[in-house]
Amino acid sequence: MYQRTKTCQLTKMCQRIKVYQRTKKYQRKSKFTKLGIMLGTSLLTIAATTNSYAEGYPERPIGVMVAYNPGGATDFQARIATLASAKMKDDKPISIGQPIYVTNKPGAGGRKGWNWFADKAPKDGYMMAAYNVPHFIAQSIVYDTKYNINNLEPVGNWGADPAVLIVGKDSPFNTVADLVAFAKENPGKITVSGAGKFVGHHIAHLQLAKAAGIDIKYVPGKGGVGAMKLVKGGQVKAGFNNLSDAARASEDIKILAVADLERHSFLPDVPTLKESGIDVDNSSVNFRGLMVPKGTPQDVIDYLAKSVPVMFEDSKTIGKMKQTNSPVKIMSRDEVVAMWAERQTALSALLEGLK
Amino acid sequence: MIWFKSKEHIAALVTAGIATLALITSFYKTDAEVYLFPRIAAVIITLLAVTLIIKVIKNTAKTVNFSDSLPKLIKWKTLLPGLAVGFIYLFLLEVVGFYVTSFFAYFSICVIYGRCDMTNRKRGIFKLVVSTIFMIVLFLLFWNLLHVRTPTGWLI
Amino acid sequence: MEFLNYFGNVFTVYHMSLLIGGTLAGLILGALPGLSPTMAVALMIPFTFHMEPAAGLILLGAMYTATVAGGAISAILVNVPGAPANIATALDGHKLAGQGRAAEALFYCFTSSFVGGIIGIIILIFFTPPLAKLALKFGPTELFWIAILGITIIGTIGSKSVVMGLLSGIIGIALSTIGANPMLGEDRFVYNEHLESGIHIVAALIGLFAIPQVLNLIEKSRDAKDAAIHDLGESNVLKAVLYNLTRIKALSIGSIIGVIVGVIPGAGGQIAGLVAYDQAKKLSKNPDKFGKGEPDGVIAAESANNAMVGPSLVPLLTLSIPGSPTAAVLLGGLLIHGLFPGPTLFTEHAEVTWTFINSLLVAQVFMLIIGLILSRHSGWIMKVPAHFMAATIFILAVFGTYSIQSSYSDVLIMATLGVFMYFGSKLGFSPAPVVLGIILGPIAEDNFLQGKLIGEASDGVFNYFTSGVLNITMITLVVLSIGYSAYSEAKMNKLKQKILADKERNNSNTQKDNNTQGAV
Repeated sequence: MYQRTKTCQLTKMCQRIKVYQRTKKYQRKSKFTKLGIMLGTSLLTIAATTNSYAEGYPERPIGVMVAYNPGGATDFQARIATLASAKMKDDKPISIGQPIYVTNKPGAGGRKGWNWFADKAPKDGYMMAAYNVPHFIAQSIVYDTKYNINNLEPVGNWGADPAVLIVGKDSPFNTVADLVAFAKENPGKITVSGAGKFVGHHIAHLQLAKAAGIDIKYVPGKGGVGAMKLVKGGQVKAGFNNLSDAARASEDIKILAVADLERHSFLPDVPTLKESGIDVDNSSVNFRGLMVPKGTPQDVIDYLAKSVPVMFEDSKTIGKMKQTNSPVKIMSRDEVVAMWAERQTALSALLEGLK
Repeated sequence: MIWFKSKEHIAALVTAGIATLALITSFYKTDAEVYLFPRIAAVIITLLAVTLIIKVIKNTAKTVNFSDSLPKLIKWKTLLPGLAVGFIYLFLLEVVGFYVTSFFAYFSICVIYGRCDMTNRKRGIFKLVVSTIFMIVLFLLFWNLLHVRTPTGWLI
Repeated sequence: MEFLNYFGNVFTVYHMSLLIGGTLAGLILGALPGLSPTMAVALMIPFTFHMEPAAGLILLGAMYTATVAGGAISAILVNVPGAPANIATALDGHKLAGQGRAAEALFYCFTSSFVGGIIGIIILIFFTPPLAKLALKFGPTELFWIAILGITIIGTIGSKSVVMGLLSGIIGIALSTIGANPMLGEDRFVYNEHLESGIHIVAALIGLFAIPQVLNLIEKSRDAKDAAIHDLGESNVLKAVLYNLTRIKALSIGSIIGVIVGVIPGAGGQIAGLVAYDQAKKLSKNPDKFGKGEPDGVIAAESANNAMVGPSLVPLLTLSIPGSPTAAVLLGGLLIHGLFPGPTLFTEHAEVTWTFINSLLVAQVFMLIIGLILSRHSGWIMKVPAHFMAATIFILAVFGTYSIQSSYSDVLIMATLGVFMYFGSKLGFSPAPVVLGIILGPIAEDNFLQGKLIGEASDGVFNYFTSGVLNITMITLVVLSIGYSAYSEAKMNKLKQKILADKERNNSNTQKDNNTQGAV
């Protein structure tokens, strides 16, 4: 709506200027002023046409804001996941029906971008954002953020990347039990790396320490890559990292367990933490999907909730995801809403007293 | 007022100001562990500022003759219109739109700081044309080629 | 010699046109003040999305090499380095341009980039496995000492007095602590929402260099006299290239340091140029010529910048740990095509990988040729009237800053830092140490915090930071660097006193000159 009134005003302004140009007063003006007015009019016309659209959503390309750097896992998965947005079949759109472009607004572990999204993004359905659960929920609990699960509306989930417990190739630990036994004898001597504070890896760390009753130290790395380096270089004794990254690096590290409810198809031989005797749920699994800000018209949300999962299911997209080792998990809007609420309660309990 | 007579004096004074600011912001009501590095930096800045001030005082004692008035470091009259254009430009950037504001900022700087008279019409039109071409190139480069989506305000 | 088998793949029409196009685009984008290589490569990634893996990587690789060299053009001609890597180039390069030797400086820049680049890629081809092992040895403590080593050279980079230089550097470090720190999980100095994500290094670089330059230009715009000095200058390409190749000392210092800094993951390849410049200055017979237009300064800095490109890919291709910010963006480009760093890259995907590496070698040749041609024809940049130049740099700075991470806050921070730097430069502060401080601050702090956590869990923080061969080597280097700086400072002081004594003898004349110089 907002966009449309703006366009109307612009068009009206252009018309008024054109009328003015025919008056006698205008004819008396100097060449220089005329040129200025002409230029202004043309700029206005360009502006009016770029913003204009007719009835019916969506009529122009849609943006997706990614709160992380270009080239990062969230960024390239978002680009692959939205590949099929404009695909047509028999002149009819299969999913959304418009191309999608990605805008990166990285900073402060994602807070910068999500704050902008909840606060300033247009609420007309032409700007979506990629979410990372549990990151943004944990941040909204710990920090004073402008976003929380109540002012964001999910429209679909494309991936789920569980955290895995890894140790270096030369580590004496071969099972989770080895590590827990050592930690019980030497409290505070085990260092565990992860991608940063209050991300999935940190959550997994907190859950492991709590469930096993051990005192282990968390060493935040510079992103998942930095955390992995600390494990490979032997600077830390263990680490939590993304399943997809760990599965690729299996020659340099040992993977002890998956912090999920079930074993993962990429690593069928690796047990879950639960199987290893540590009672941990899947709160640390990194879910990725798309959302819009609250205040977006309900029919737009409904349209996206219907078309976005279809877009994720495209065979080329799935193939590319597989090729890049990105674990796919497609969920509908209702499933994601339930998942968010569940995480909110679990994380509030876990993070209570941490800050 | 022996203090403000050379740029070294002003530099020493500014440094003292920066050191005070750094000390206050990093020590007042902050957590020692979180602000460890800022605190170390603030202390080093203070030490260096003291060194600089001592150096300046020593030199002042030694060198007797320097000019009597404050050295003319900045041509405020020339500079102020430019700073004003810059300030208004940045203020309106997000509200009005990147490309339109940039066009006016570019044109204003060219007109204000051109070497010829501001009322010279021929040069004025030339500057207008250059500004327009520059903005079109910029639009093609950033919007079309690099796909940078600058926020649209009222206009583009 | 496996790489030779795939050399033919580079020479297809499609790949060659991508190479030439990427090099040309990279040089031009790099030369625009305000556009950094990291950003250029990041913005190119979506284009490679629909290409074949080899073609996409060739384009990205050509862009990577060319933007690093292209950044030197704006550093030399308008004193606005395109990337942190080009700061050292600006120190002497712009002085050369001021003396009417801009063309010569540009020829040096591309020739040494070419030499450094070729050495770097050859190191990548032949020494990847041992270097990868070395790269892993650099843990938090080693990186912390590297940052400290970098801080010890701050005082001598680009400032007239060591105290002022150090002061600017430490202010840079203090600035780098602003914003949210993901490592600590805390916000610091966030008095305003625009400060939330801190000061981006490229935004700071653009602000600290470009804005003072804009203000200087508009300040001088009404002095008719100033316009005449700007000229590209006459220079024979062949003569300049041959002279450059005889500067073996500067070239080898630059290339060796570039290779070492490139391999160390996370040290920020951005400092390669500055470290090489500092070393070339310290080992030179006449170090006082540096900063006043010394070709060796440009040669060392530029050969280091491009020698860094190849080795920075070593930890990237083998361990998926990028050695520079641009290499980090390149990692995304690899992953998109399903090429996962690690041993499989050289077995399963050998064809793509070796084609990519070979194309980097060929890209160096194109960069040299296109660069030299562009240099000869960039004279018009020097003749653009000051007001057009000022407006162009200003608007490009704003757009370049915005496009780093689509952030309006970055633009505001850039402009604010720039205005303060302008006033600071009038008082004798210089931007280079501030940028170096902003780069090194987080490296020192993050690694110190990690090392402290790990040290506490093992045998004490102090022990952890001072044990191991690499740590001790680093500490020795730090001590040597400080010792050398103190020694040369004392030597300089003696020299100064001698000059002062000379001055006092005929003080009435010289004093006047001094005062007028201070006022400019």
